[in-house]
Amino acid sequence: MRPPAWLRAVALVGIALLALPLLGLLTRVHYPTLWRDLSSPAALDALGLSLVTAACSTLLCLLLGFPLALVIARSSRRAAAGLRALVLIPLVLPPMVGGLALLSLLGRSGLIGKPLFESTGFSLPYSTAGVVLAQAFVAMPFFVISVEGALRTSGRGHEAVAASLGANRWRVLTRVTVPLVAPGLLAGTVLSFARAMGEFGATALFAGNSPGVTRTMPLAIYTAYNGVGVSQDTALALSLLLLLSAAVVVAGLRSWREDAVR
Amino acid sequence: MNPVPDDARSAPAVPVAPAGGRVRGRAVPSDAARGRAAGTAALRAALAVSRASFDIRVELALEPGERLALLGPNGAGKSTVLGALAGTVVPEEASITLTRRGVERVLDAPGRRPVPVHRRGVTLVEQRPLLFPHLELRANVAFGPRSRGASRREASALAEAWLGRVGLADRAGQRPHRLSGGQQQRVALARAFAAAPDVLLLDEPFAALDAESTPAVRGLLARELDRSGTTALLVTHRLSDAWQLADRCAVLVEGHIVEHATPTELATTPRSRFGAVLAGFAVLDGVAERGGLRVGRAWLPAVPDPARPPAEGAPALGIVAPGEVEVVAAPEQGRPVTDGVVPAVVETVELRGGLVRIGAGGGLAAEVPPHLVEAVAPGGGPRAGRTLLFRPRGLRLVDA
Repeated sequence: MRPPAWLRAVALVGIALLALPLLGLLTRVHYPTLWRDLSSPAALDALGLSLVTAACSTLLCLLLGFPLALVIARSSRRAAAGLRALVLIPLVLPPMVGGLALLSLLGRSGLIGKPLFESTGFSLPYSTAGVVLAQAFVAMPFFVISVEGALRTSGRGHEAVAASLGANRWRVLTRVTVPLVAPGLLAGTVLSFARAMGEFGATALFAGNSPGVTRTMPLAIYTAYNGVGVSQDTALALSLLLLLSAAVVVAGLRSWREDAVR
Repeated sequence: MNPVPDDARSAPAVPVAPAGGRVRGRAVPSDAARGRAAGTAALRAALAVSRASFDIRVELALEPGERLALLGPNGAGKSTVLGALAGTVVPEEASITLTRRGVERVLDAPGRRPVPVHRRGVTLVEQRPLLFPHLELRANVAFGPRSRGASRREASALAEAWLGRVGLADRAGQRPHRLSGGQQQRVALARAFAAAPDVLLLDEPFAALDAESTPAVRGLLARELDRSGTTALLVTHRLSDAWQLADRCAVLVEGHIVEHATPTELATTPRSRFGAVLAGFAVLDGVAERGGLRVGRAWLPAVPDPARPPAEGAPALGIVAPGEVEVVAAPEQGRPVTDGVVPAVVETVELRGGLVRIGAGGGLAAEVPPHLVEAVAPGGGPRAGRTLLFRPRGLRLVDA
């Protein structure tokens, strides 16, 4: 049934709120100098740093998040609900608070950071590793939730049959469980990569804004509008790049899901 | 769907296990060494599983190559028993041993760590085919042999041979989703047999199939069980499955086996309520009295079953074929009920094979020619809710 006209009108306002600002961004980009803006050393630094850190944090999400998702999916209902809530908190938390939390744990005067610094002289904040950690903190919930959902709804019967055919746990995991949740794994990976690319708040607080070390694309964009670092044209160009990559992610996920539905 | 050859000899000879090798300390003898005794192991199990509504306590013994059907109503614990044998359900207490050519393996025993699922040599076939959707049929069937150490080439050859046996040789390179439900279940059976299990556990393997594909898949399973001599435990709620596939039946109700019988015995002289209902008999609840059955105010003549005669005054079941139950008349107000007839409220009325089958309250059923029903209840027979008098003849009395 078609919704009533006034509801459709409200919906139109809703989609306008989401889409028009993006359209506005597209109109402000200075296209003739787009290439030059993007290839300026500061922009390339930010772009390169973003790609490297997002790739690292996505890998971290994969390595830590998959076991976590598997444990949650195979836990008792109560344990799973508790673990899931813990995973969801960083997702709902303002990233800024996440950054502060990381700082209180791993900063030079933090719970773990202080003894770490005093014994080894190593500290995570304001380092590229800190960027990766901040991104992983913010992105991992996306990964865990999408993979856990896939694991929970798929394949316990398949796993039992595989084991009864003589497959040991490792073989069941690699030949049955993982392939069965491949769509969820891919979705989780792409989502957490996109989230890591866009991460600002936690990174800004925990890792700072040092060019070439912790100044990722979002930080570069922010800095440009505070009058230092890259030009505003470059900031707009970088924003366009982030917007395009987001569009690619969304389109890619959709077509892939449709394939997976058979 | 491809036809399945009925004659086992017309199908290609297929080895039932990967050629010799050693898997986790368990010797896998070569085909030649196995010979005809392949796939025959004895199973002894005593299980206790606690559940919210009732406890399951079951003892089972299967001789090498024997096929036991476990029948029972929904929720009786049948699948839990299979799970405990396969190792996917952890019982509170279990002792399970498999004996193969004199070599005994303890799968589960008090105070021991249970043998994990993949080392039991016990393979599950479930209601749903549960084929691995990401693998071609060939790889699906080769999964078991590969898991047990066969080389890729051996496993693949074995898989293709098995796909041939189930009539799907030409589909080896396809993914499972392109097959019908019946075809998928054939592949699931091929996959289970290719793993050369000591014991095959079949959990309602035809329940998800439509009526047309069931007979063919059942025939295929019977043929391969005959040929391989695999010891098998079949869970089903259909007597015809048991009759065609099993040597013995056990009826499981609320976690306990209430009846052991051959399929023919179960079909002709069931001795438990569920067995009787399964075999289509009418069942009457009452008390054994004066060599008959008292049901409420009625007393019915009956013959005690020699195998399970009830004690005088004890609760008893009267079992009778619906064809032996006569519909007498509607009871009249104020008239005392006479011996030999029992009143019951009509619940269902169905016409089948020229007879009217009347199902009535308390498990009673009668199959009578329509004109006899007309005589009692003119105009299309009795309506549901109406009380009629029934006269069962040759009621067999068993201990309830």
